[in-house]
Amino acid sequence: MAGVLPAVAALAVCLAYFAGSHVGLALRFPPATTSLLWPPNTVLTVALLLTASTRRWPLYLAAALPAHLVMVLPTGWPWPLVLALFATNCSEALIAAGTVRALTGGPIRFDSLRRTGLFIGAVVLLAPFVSSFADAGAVAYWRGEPFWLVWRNRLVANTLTELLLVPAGVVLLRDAVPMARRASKSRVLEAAAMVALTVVLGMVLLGAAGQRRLDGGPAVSANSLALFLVPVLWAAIRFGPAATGALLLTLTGGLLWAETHGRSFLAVPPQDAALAFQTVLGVVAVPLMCLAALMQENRKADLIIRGRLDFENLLSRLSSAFVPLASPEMEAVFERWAAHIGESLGVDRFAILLNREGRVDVAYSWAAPGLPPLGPAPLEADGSGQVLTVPLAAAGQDVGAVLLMLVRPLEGELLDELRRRLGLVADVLAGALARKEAEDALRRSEALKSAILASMPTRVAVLDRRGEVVAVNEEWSSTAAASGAGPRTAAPWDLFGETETGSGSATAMTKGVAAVLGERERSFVHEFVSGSGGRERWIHMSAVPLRLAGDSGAVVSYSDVTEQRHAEMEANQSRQELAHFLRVSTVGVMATSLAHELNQPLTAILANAQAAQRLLAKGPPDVAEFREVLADMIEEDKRAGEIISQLREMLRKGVPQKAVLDVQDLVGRVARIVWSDSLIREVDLHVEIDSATPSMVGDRTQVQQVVLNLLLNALEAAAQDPSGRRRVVLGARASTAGDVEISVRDTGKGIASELAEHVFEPFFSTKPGGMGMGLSIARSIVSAHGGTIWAEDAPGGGALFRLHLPSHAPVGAEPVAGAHET
Amino acid sequence: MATRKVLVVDDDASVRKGLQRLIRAAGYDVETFDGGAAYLARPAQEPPACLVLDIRMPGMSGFELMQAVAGTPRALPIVFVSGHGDEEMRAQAMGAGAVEVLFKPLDERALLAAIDKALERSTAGG
Repeated sequence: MAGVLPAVAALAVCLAYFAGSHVGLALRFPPATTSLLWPPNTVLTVALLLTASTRRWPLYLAAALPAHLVMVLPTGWPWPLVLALFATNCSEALIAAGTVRALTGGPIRFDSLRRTGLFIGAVVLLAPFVSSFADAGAVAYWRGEPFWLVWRNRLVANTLTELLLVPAGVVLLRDAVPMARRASKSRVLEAAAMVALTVVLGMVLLGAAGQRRLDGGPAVSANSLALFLVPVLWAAIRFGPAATGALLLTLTGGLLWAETHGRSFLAVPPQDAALAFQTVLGVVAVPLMCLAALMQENRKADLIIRGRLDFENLLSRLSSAFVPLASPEMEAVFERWAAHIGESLGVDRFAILLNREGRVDVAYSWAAPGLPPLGPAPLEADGSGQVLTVPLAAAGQDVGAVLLMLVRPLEGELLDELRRRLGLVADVLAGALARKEAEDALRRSEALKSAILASMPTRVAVLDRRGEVVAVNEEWSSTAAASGAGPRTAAPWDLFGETETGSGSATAMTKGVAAVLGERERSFVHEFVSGSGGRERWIHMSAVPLRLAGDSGAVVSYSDVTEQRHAEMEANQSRQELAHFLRVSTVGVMATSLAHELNQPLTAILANAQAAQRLLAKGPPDVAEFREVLADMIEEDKRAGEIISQLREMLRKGVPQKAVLDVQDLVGRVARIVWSDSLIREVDLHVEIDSATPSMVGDRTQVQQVVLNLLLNALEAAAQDPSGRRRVVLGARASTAGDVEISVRDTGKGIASELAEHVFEPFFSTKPGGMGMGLSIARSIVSAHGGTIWAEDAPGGGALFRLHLPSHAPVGAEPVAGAHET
Repeated sequence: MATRKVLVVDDDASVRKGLQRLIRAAGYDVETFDGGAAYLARPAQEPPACLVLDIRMPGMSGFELMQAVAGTPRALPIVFVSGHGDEEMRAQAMGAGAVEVLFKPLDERALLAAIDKALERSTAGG
């Protein structure tokens, strides 16, 4: 009797007991003490069953005592009997309620066969059976009635009353209001029809029974009573044990009232008829009540299944609702589904909370009509009601939560079921949210890629495995449009036309792209000149493989590198001009030593010629000696010619010419050029040329210029050698990596380590009046030959310059034409 | 008349050979050396004799050789020849006691005159 003040409840118990006693005493065959139905005990049983707290039980039992006294004392029975009967009544209620409590641990229910069976066992059979012994003993003692007769009559009466009245009482008091609220209109009409049928049947049959008896004719055929089975079965099948009990109680009460008030349906003494009715109805009521419980159980199971099916249907629709949607459309659908879910779960508020940048916000919410929507702090919305939350976990990350609120709290199985359903909803929503996030990320990535592709000045096309163009960027489209080709022309190089690219170029590109598509090559690069008559454009074409999931293709791009090539050509030309200028300057600087170098063969030639003249003047010459003189003169003339030719070479201006260079010879020649210089500067020049020094591919003039520059610098530095060693060592050998290594070491003051790199910068010079371009040009020449040059401290002091240049591979390994253009 | 000996020291083999031919054709006895070290390894020469000495040589220069033999029996009158030089160098050599300083390519008459002069000084000195 939860939710009702104890005093009010006690008063209600008292009044009900009073009414029940009234009924019970009316259904008696005086002078017999025992009633045919005895509702007061049932009133007490119902009161105790509905009272969760056993501490209140004495209060309600005590509340019934006044009613008991008021009703029973006028019978004139002795006081002790009156009190003893009250005690046995109380004991019956206590045994019934106590047993149910002990066995179930919770409130009594009649919605399953098992629970109804428990009720019949504990309340209907056990309690009357046990309490009737004391009752029969008291009656036998004070009233002298036969013990077993009293025991039997009371057992039958109380069993019947408990059986028929307790379910009706409990359900009426506890469940009637919520049930009525939930009941549909058709169900109320059906119940009314059933009640009306019962009333009509009762009035007709009772009236008929009375008339027949007054006429002194034969009793009403008991067969007609079978008509009552119609509403009773109706109640059992459609309305459960409580309604069945109520109808049977009405029927029983009517019959027994008739028998005890001079009306009868049977041609036997009323006591016998009453006992027969009691017995028959008691026996019939048990299976009927069980049937009703079974039916109710089925109905409930059906309801649960239908509810689950509805929910599964909801989940399925929810799952599919997001599948065909693009991410932006999901927003509205989330909002709509928040309402669907809230309504379907039968809750008062429902919300989807999202974790955004570490903050949890209400992203979508719904509230039942009449309720305010959720505020930004959902858990403190109104401080009352029940809140359930389930986290939303997508791909292992906590992305938010779903939340529901109930104004009227749930407990037990219903709460568990709601929590389970909320969890399933959360799973589906989390999946949808994860997909939305993934799609958003993909869309952002696509947008980024598109923006990058669109911003590129390069023409880019994506080819599929067969070489068909599947995607192009804007630059490609506009070029294609300008050239009159389709935007997705089958052969990308068609954009430039064979006449412009040359058929050889187009063939090379076709083969190259095919090789990349066939995965025979990892990349293909081709450069060609498009256009003519001063409108030439240098185009750099590349193709790289594109690996997609389960498929392959290629990305082809064309870049206009005309500006770059022009700049390179200009830089190249400037460098050549500067190199030439430096060579001319060097010749100027070396004029003295070159003159000395030329003087040697000239001196020898002149001396030989004059000697020959003298030999001739002496008489017939010795022919052999003459031949020798002439041979020496020719040799010396050649030597002078070579010096002149080297000089001319150094002064040569023009594009570099590649050739295989004998490095040993080249280094030796440069050494000879500076030989005189070393003499003039009084510096010892040592030349160490390893015979294993490999040859290389390059421009003779440029490589000589580099070595000459290094040597002249070294001689100049050594000439100022403070230690007086005055030594320069020119070396040539193979490096450990097999490259050409040329080194120039001097005994000068060396180069400070922090300047070791700066010496190669343009306009950097440590010499007074130096231009600072020699080493800069040397480095650019070496770089153009694919080599490196650097400075370091020489062991024992002075500077050591070393340069590595790629060696020329043995004949057959790599053609000379494959070397890089300088 | 004793043999007039001209000792030629020059690092350049062809120059050495050419001078040897010319001086020998002019009637002198000639011996050549490729550097100061070779000359110093030879026994001292009796007069009349002179040195035709290149100034610029690797290792020991003509001036250094001159200093090295000064005051020794190997010291002979010297005619310097050089492929490169100026008046300053000439003055320096003459100051040091050289008979003559000539520049390459050599004028035949100037060379032989200088040799004769040197031989004379050799005889006079000796």
